[in-house]
Amino acid sequence: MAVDMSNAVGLDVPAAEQVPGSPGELPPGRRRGFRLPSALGPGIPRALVFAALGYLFGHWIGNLIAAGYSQVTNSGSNNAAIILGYLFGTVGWIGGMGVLTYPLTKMTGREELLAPQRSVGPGRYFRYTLDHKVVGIQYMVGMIVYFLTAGLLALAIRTELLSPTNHVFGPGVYIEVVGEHGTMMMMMMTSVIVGPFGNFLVPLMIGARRMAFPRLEALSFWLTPAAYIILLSSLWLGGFPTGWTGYAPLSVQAGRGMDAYVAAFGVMAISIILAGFNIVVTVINLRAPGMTWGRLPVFVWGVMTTSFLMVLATPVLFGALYMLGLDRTIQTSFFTDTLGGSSYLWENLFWFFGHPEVYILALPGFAIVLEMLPVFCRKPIFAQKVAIAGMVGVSALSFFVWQHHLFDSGINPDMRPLFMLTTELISIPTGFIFLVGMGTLWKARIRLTVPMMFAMGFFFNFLLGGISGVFLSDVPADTTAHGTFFVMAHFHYTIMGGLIFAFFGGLYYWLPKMTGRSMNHRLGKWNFIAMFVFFNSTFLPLFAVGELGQPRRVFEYAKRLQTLNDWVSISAFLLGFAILLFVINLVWSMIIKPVRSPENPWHSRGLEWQTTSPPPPGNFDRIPIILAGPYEYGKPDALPMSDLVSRTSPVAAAAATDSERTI
Amino acid sequence: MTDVAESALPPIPADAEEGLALSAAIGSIWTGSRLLIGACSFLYAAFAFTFFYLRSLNSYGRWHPKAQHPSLLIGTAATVALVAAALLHYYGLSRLRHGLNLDWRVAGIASLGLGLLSAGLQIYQLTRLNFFPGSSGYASVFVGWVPVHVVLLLGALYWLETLVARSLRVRNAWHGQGDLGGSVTPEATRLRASLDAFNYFFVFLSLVGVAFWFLFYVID
Repeated sequence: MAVDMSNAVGLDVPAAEQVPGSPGELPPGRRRGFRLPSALGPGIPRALVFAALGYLFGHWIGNLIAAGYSQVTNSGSNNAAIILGYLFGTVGWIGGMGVLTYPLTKMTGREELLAPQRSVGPGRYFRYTLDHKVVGIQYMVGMIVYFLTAGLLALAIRTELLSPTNHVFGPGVYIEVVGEHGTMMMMMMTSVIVGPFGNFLVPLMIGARRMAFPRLEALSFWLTPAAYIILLSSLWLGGFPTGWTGYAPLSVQAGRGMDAYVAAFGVMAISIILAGFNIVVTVINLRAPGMTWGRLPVFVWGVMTTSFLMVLATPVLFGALYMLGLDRTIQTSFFTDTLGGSSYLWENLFWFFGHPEVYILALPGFAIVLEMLPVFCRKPIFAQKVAIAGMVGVSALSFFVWQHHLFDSGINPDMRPLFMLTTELISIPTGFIFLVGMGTLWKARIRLTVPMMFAMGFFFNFLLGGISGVFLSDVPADTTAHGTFFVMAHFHYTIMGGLIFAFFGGLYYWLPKMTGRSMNHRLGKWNFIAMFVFFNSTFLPLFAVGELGQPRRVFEYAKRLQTLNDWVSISAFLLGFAILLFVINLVWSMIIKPVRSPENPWHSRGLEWQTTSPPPPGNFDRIPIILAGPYEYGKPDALPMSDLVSRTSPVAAAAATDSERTI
Repeated sequence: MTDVAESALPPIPADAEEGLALSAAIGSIWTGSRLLIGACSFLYAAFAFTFFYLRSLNSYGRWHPKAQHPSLLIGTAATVALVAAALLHYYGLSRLRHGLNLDWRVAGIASLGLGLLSAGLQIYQLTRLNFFPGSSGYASVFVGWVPVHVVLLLGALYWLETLVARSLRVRNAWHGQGDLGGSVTPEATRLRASLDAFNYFFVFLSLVGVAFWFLFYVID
């Protein structure tokens, strides 16, 4: 396991200089050895060339290995060549970006120093960089691209479902589109908060200059474009018919597009593990003096508990994908019943990851909205420790519920009550977190800003998603609704209605910090209203559609359901328009006509707002000493959160006030 | 944004910040190695679960046909080499703590060799199997597990190699200051922390090797 365990802080470099920058970006006096011309140096052009060469090499190796096996050469399809092509292509990609330079240098006993960030232009966003803020923005753009691509695929699905009899796609293409949409969304959603906000904000919120392992952080991002391209390439290979869950034995028997699913999800799994690993280590070890666990912002708690899940649950997914890859290439029989395997084995392994995955998606959403609520309610979080206990409880319990996904597919009937109970139990810590949110809103003087609107939307949507989830955890209800649009509506309410609303709220809230520029608030409000209305208009009727018996992943349906389906499809297009409003706002406010944001536009006490926007290299002029918690709103005698701000300074005064100032 | 606070606490001086950075680095290495063990445990647990799940199902009576056996000699030799490598490194590290730097370097290099031998034997074993990967549930788990273990072992050996290479490159840096085992310089402290972390991980890998040897050759 080639994990960079070194912090690579040099022998003789003062601490002030030990802040992240591009690797090799040393002061001229410290440079040594041969250096390539910049045109041939690390970057996207070289990475693309290396990726192509890597793919061809892997494909050639795969063909070479399989040449002696007549069952492969006669099949016309060599899965080993495809998977090895993807893997070597990925290695070529990260090698071309410059990721492998340091690990290879390290083998000679050399340490590469972490140098200050020198380049400030937009070019740094296209390079392998060790600055957590740049990685955070790279992640943000990457995840938006993922989201928009998968969103377009969703619109393709709804286009097909406009009519039960007239078809845009055939059944095979339809299921390919569904699978591509689901897999891309799930891959993206896992990283959508931890990637952009976790990487950008966690060091700022805990008073650190950088992440614990900046190289792993950068690697975790640069694996995501590779996973994206590999997954998209599946469409050229005939797609995969299993949806995002990849159930065996269909996944073993499926065509070449399934190899892309295996490789893409596998690459993304490594990225997820690395991202989570880095966050956990950073939060535990890099907190500023005085940043006790009790003063840790609830956002950091949420991201850290999520990261634990990512580190512990995702290896099981990786193992399952590896087994599936072996079944498809060297023809092991993990998932083939007649040869001593079992297709249920996949279901167990997949859902052992898959259900914690659900909470990997839910917890960061809660973390964002709970972070924003006290700022816009101008009062402390109600029972913050209960919310943290809820997050820890959800994380721990999430490992004990996976078998409810097997209620309908052959689980021992005696086991059903146990897993029904554990699934219902998890609603208790989830309820803790929800009630903490409600308690914070109670009797608050709410500032209805755009981020706050998204937070309120989150609570409404998640309530419907959560209640329908408790309903589905009941065995009889699950047996009835299993495989229908009811389940689909349920998880879209929790994931899109929950996580994506929180993500958008977080973007409106923290983009001024990340870029120093403000989003247009009027357009933002329209964005929220349109998203909220059309989201509910799209997914609420799907509960009814599911109850009336329409199955998921089938391109035809009963004629009597056309009116509802047409309503849903038209709403989905309008929801797409609402998201387009966000994209327009983003491009307009950030690029075309940027407006300088105030240093602390929301009058937050949070540590991340006690430095410039965007933050300088190294984040703070000096490491802060933490004096108080982040949510002491409405307490005139409260100390500022850190010694970076004077008690009498305008920032502290603004943050401490509970007046009804509006932005 | 950096007004002096009214608080009685003075700001952290620059040299103290270096101390904070060092303790954070050491803590990160410690936490990282434990977390790495956690992640790898779940990966191995997936294989252990698969082993027992398929064994208990015994689908179509094809969990483990009688004639299918990997070489006990090669498998045992690979496991013994791995355990010996871990023990040797553990011993070398304890000598380092007593200031015997050369002992650790010799133990580290020998451990590297034994680890490579173990990995090589496991790869060699895959070429000598008397069954095909898909011929039974047992065969699948065995053929699937070995490469995972070998890759993690090679990753650990890469880590060890970087530590040995670094210690050789800076072998004279702390001459007269206690050398690597006793120097209190940040670089030496970090290197020792990394050695401790590696040692922990290597012992973990060897224990996993023993556990799966037990599964494949004793329980089977």
